[in-house]
Amino acid sequence: MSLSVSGLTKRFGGKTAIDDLSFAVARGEIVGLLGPNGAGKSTTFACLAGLARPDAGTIRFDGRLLESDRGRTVAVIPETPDVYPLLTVWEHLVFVARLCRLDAGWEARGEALLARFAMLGERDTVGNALSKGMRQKTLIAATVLAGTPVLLLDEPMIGLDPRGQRELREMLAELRAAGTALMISTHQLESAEALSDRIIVLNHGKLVVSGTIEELRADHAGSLEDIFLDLTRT
Amino acid sequence: MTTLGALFYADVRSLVNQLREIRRAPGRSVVWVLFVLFVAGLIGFRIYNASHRAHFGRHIVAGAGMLDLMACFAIALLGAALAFGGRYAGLFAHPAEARFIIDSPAQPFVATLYVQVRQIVRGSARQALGLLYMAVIYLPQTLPAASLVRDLVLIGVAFAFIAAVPLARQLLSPRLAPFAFAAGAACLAAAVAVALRAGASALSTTVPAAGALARHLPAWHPGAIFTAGAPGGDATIAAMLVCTGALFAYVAQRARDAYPELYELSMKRLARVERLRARSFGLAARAPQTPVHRTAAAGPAPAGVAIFIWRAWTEYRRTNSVRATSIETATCLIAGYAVARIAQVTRPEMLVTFASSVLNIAFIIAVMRSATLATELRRPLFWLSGATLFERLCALGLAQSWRLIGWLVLGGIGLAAGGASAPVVVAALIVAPCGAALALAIGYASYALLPYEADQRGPLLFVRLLLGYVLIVPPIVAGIAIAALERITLTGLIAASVIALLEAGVLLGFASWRLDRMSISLR
Repeated sequence: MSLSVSGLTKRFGGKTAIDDLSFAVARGEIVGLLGPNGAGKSTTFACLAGLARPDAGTIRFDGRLLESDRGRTVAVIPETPDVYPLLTVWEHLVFVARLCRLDAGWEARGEALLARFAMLGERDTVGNALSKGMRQKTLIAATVLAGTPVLLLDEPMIGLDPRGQRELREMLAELRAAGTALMISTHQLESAEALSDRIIVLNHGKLVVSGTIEELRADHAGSLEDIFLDLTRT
Repeated sequence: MTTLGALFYADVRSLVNQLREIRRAPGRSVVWVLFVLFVAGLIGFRIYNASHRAHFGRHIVAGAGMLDLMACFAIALLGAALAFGGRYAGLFAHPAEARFIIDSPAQPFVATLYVQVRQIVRGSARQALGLLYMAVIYLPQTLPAASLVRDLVLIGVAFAFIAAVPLARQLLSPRLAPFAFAAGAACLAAAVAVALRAGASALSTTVPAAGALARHLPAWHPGAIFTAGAPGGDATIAAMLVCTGALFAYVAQRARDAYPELYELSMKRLARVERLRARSFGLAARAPQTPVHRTAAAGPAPAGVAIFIWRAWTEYRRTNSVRATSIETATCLIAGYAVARIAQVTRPEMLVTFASSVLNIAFIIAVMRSATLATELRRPLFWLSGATLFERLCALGLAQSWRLIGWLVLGGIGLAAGGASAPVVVAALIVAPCGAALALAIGYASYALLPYEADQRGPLLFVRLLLGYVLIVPPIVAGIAIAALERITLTGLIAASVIALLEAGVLLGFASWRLDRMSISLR
């Protein structure tokens, strides 16, 4: 196992956003994180990425407790693509490459990433002039370039055109093959079913179920949508 | 419930919910209570001072025509608003409100009038506090309390009037636009005349030419209606209230037919405000909307957190031409040189007044840079790499303040060229940049203490001021003590700089510790 979460709890004032959450994500595995609005998906991501301090619980990577330097281990791509308005697409890649002190071959990898997202024509366009989808692609390309072993994606398909969505799906499959541990939070159940090796369903901050699609189907009847609605009824 | 009732309900509930949020956190409640006490204390102190006619040592400033200059500033604002409208003119606070009002069956006149009045009241709350602070510092301390209140009301109404102009100006018929432009140009010319006269009067005793200029410039100016005193004050307040009401009514009357324009203006304003919040540093930060050639990028990118400085430099180059940079550089150098030359022929208190004003402005600019910290923290790329938050904040601080530090250093070089004494030059070259770093760190630390938006409109200002004035004492005291002990001014200045830097480091450490424990939203 690579990423392991144990007893994770986060409260905001009197409200418990996530409650005693435990799960693991192996290297080379894609885990779909599902749940209704307010279930605690984004809070879970924030805790994993070090943007929120859990009230209890531990987060480990390869057995090592993740501390404040987790930026080299975990990266998050949020739903809102917040890029630097005055840096070009290419400069975003330069920024990440130098910040993370990437090796000399990063430029070729960066070019390849832009080519995959059909963004070579936009490489010298500043963030302010990009459409929402292009910003999303820029952020994904820059984050993937950083090459962190754990990647968290919050609704990554929103804003992407069909070609971009296909490229992202293929890219995620490649990252999985390369040994990256991936978690995808989404409301698009078809997308989660197609991408994920395993599904985790949260409701009211608690883990409701965790398993492969086949395991879920063995215990519950119907489509993933039926299973999801059944599990999150209350 | 009518539309007006619904708008009022939404505003009241927002306020109540904000108060509830504050009450939930004991720390925030304490800061808010302290803030309210601070404001009450400010008013009480001023009234006590006025009733006892206590000497506060600020008559030099008042005597140097500060009121004239303030009136001049107001006239210049009015002139600019009349001539050009205003880039920040807008009616609706956010898109949802616009859709709600436009789609509702409400009388556009009533709804628009309400929104305008609310915008002015909301917008003026922070300015009112600023005015109160200015009144304590700058207005003559012998002014009776009643006159002080009248003056503050007068200034508040004047700014409300000026704030109401841009939106009405934007909706003005094109046929009338030239008249508005002419009126605006006249106001700007009057403001320049007032500024010239005030400057010339201040220098008249030491520079003969300035005295001659002061004698030739007319004594009366449009701003005199602000500074004429009590007899004219009430009439002026009434007149400006009528004018403000007329402007509001004009916009409200045109609202139904002008909803598309009003919506567009409001969205543009929101986009500008967002850009202003997000920009790294600079006065002109409109991003180019066309592709940028790679040659326009900055030079080689450094590794690690120093990349934040590279990013600031790239953004600066992207938004500033070589000509603008040359003008900026020359202005700083000439200003330093001019100050050094003027200081040789004028009274020392003039120089002290000028220097303290410049340092105050530099302090405010540096502290306000922290306003962009929230935007930085929301960006996921900020959090990549294994660098600690302290390292990131240090690099970000340097990235956000290098331009201000550059201005101060250039000013110092100008001072040296103008023949200023060694301690003054050292103060500009070393002490002022260290002070700027301290001010920025104060901004970060106070943001980390009160990161909520509601707090930033209230007690954050108080915390910044408090921290600023408390933390500036140790470097000054240590500097003076060491200079007195060693009998070398230079040693004292360097000691003050070192202590300011140490304080900045501690504050950045506190900010990173506190931010590390907070939940940061990426939305």
